Amino acid sequence: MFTALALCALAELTQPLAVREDGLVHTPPMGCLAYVEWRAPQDTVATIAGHEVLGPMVGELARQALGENADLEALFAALANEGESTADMLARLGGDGLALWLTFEQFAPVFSLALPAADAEAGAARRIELLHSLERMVEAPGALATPSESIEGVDVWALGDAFFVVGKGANTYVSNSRNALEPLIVERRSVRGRRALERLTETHARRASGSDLFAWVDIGAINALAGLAGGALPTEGPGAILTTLTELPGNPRAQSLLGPGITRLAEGRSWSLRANVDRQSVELQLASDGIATPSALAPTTPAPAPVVMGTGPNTAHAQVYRDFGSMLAQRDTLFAGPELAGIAMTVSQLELFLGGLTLEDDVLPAVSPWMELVGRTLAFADTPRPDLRLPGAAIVLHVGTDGAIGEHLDAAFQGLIAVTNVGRAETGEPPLRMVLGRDGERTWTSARFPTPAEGAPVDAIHNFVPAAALVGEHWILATHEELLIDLMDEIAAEKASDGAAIGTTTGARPVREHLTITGVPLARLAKPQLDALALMASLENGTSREAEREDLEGLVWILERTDADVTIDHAADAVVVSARLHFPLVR
Amino acid sequence: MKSENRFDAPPHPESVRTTTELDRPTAVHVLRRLCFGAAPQDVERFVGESVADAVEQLVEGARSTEPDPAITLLLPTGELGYVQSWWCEQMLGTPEGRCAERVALMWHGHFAASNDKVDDVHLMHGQYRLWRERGLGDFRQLLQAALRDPALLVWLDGVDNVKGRPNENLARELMELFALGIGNYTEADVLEAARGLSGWRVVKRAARFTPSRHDGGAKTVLGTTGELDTNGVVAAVLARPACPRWIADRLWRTFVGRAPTAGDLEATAKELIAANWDIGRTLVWLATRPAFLATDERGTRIAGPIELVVRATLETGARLAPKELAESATHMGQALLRPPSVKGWDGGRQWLDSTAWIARQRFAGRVAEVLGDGDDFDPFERLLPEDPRPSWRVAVERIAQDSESPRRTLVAAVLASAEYQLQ
Repeated sequence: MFTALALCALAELTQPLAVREDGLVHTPPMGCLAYVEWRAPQDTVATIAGHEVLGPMVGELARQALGENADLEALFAALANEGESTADMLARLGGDGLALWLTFEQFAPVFSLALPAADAEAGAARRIELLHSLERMVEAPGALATPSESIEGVDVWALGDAFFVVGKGANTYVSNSRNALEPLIVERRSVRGRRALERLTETHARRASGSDLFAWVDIGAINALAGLAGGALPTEGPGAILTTLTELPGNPRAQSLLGPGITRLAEGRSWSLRANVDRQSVELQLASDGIATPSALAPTTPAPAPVVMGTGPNTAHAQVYRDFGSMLAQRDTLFAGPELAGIAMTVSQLELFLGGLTLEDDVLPAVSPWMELVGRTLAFADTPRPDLRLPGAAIVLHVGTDGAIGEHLDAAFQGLIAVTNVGRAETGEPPLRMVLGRDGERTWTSARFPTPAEGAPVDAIHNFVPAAALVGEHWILATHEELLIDLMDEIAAEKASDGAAIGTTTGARPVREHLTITGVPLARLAKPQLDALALMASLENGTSREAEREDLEGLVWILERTDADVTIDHAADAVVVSARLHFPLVR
Repeated sequence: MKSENRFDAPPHPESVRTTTELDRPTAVHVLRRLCFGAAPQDVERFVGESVADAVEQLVEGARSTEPDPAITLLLPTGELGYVQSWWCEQMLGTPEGRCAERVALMWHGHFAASNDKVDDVHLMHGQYRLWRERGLGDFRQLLQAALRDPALLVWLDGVDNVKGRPNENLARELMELFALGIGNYTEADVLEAARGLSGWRVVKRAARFTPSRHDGGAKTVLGTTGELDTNGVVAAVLARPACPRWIADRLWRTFVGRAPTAGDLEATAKELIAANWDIGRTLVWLATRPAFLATDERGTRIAGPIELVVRATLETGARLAPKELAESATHMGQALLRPPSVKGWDGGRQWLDSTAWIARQRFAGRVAEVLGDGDDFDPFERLLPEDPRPSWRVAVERIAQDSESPRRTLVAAVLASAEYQLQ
């Protein structure tokens, strides 16, 4: 079952807010496709609003989300008092929590909001406040003084066809469709509604204790709906993320780049999201549950101890599992025809450099699927300093103890440089200069582009001084020689201090991939290049330079104050992606 | 060179006087031909002015405009796409700035060089700067500078043209495409001119003359004999009567939209010489001729892809990203800084193959999509000022009414119409 979530404390086994059994509401949101529950909006809004990083960040995200959905924006605008922000409105009306859910009618989205209260009296007071808001909105004081209908103790107010309010004991419901509220007015159950409730309730019960926010999406139902609508999932807006995710499992490039974790998210039956916010951090956890077929590429062994211990000025460090050996062995079942042709071409081209070895039988079985990725800013102390600078990146592979495969990879790198130079000669470009470095026992290979003339522009290509080296059991490939040498030094230092920890598995580590991003060095790198970055974005987006620069300054400001940890936990039927943002400067 | 005109138009009577006040359709016509097109407020600025004043303002004003220098920040990326997008953005500036860009685009097609071979965006941008800064000035100086332009030297193998091993590419295109036209020189002239143009290299992205690589011996080019170097060869070319005629022909095809009659050609060449080879003055003269202004000369020339995307953006106010404009033009067959050959783009009917036509239709739809239903203007009145009530209007309006988004359908139909593809 669901390993990571099963470990979570199950302290709150309450019903979802919108369907809780308090004697007043006992009907599920029919055909619910997405459900968001916010238990204590006042507390969360207070934390976010006063937070120097989260406040502006969440404000901008909310503005964009509302800007892209006119129906939701109209609903929120109707509920807010004059001059009141959406966040403050939600906090005010949702003093006892709130739940928002999405259904579809005739392929059009319907949003419904549930506002529970402590008791019937508080519920009635909240309804009056809400109805006054709506009257103000339509400039018709008193129009909603009395319900338009009352059915078995349930009052219904209708504002034309635009909004409907239902009062039922302590609870108040608002929707842009009367049909959506019908099950609340007249008890009605259907097989579809019951199943949706069961899945929602089950996932809800498994959410972590003390979650500020819980969200649930029925991926299966959304896919079915898309099928009914002609199979077209959205290609723009937030819905495009879902479309992209559904395409990832059959995409070899995505599988290689993102691994079996994120690429399997869309294979789940449902998603649940929980969030916790405090002054120093934000935690988000997205779980994809009910994956029917276990991934053939999922990690089978725990992660070894990291080789690069993060002692250097990393902007990013990741330990990921990419089982290219299994991917190659199972390519016929994993990928479709066109992708297979691409894989075959890539493999044959790579094997040209491997001196008779084959990737499938000789190289990949000897290389651990657990690999490390390192990103760092560079000083360009011994090489031309590009006018537009990028961070350096490196990959560290564990290639076994005998060193044979590592030597082949070294030779392949040198062969690749030589072939590249043949191509450059054909087009009249000067060759890359191959440099064989030696420092004591250590050796490495690097390739340098011709040094630009003094005073001439130093093009972005000089961010690359590709370099490779075999260090003990590890082979390193870096975009810049400077980074390679730093990593060689660090690995040597680690070996000297605690050789047993390098490249050994502890056996107790979970099957977990991780990524850590440190914002400060990225911000320092971006800051002097903001004009160029703003111009790039402006040409791309058709916006003004000033607007793009303002956005970038905001991003840099956030980066300077934010670090991020992302982990991906794998289980047979589920994948959990967790992200934690830290704000080291916030007190 | 292929004809760009749709019809063989007869000479015009003096039906339009330069003192005539610009009405709206004429203002739109002048702005389309001289500076891609204009937003409604720009059109209004010129309505009521005399033709002479309006043209003078645009062309003389263009001389003092400067492109945004920010692109130098992105040249180190080596990405041509940024320069293409940025150039499209410059074409959306003030009417005067757009006039300078229109002239630069003309010279880009005239001295066509492609980054596909040059493979250096710094050099391609440098060449753009040449067309932009000197395009309206003295053609003699422009030609001298062009033959020393690093991108052109690489593109036409001028860097391989050395004493004893002349490479004639640059010399041939100088005579065939840049200054004289076929029939106005001999093969011997090309070979001799190649010797005169020898000795240039590109070092540190700048043209450098190396005397040891130059053939300093006596040579005869177009009847002029001496130890000619680049200056001497250019002087010999400029001295030929065919040269001002060739440039006059280029101006006619670009701005009037058709080949000139023999009389018009002679008159324009004469005007060019009288203006001391000043392109700007000659353009002012040309743009105030009846042939340029006459109503039956309007909407007779198939708009090039860049002209079309820039014009549609200006005239509708659609907020399209410069990158999208550059890419759309590329799909229609005109990738900036990547002309297909030394001849540049053939233009005219060659713009309309089936692929390009589909791309034009898609672009029309895209503009309408970006505009949405909020931009309230009559697409017929604004976009087809010469013929706001075409025979198909009723049918299109009926189809649009039945569509999901009537306004978008209508705008897309007008932009995709044959009438709008002409200018």
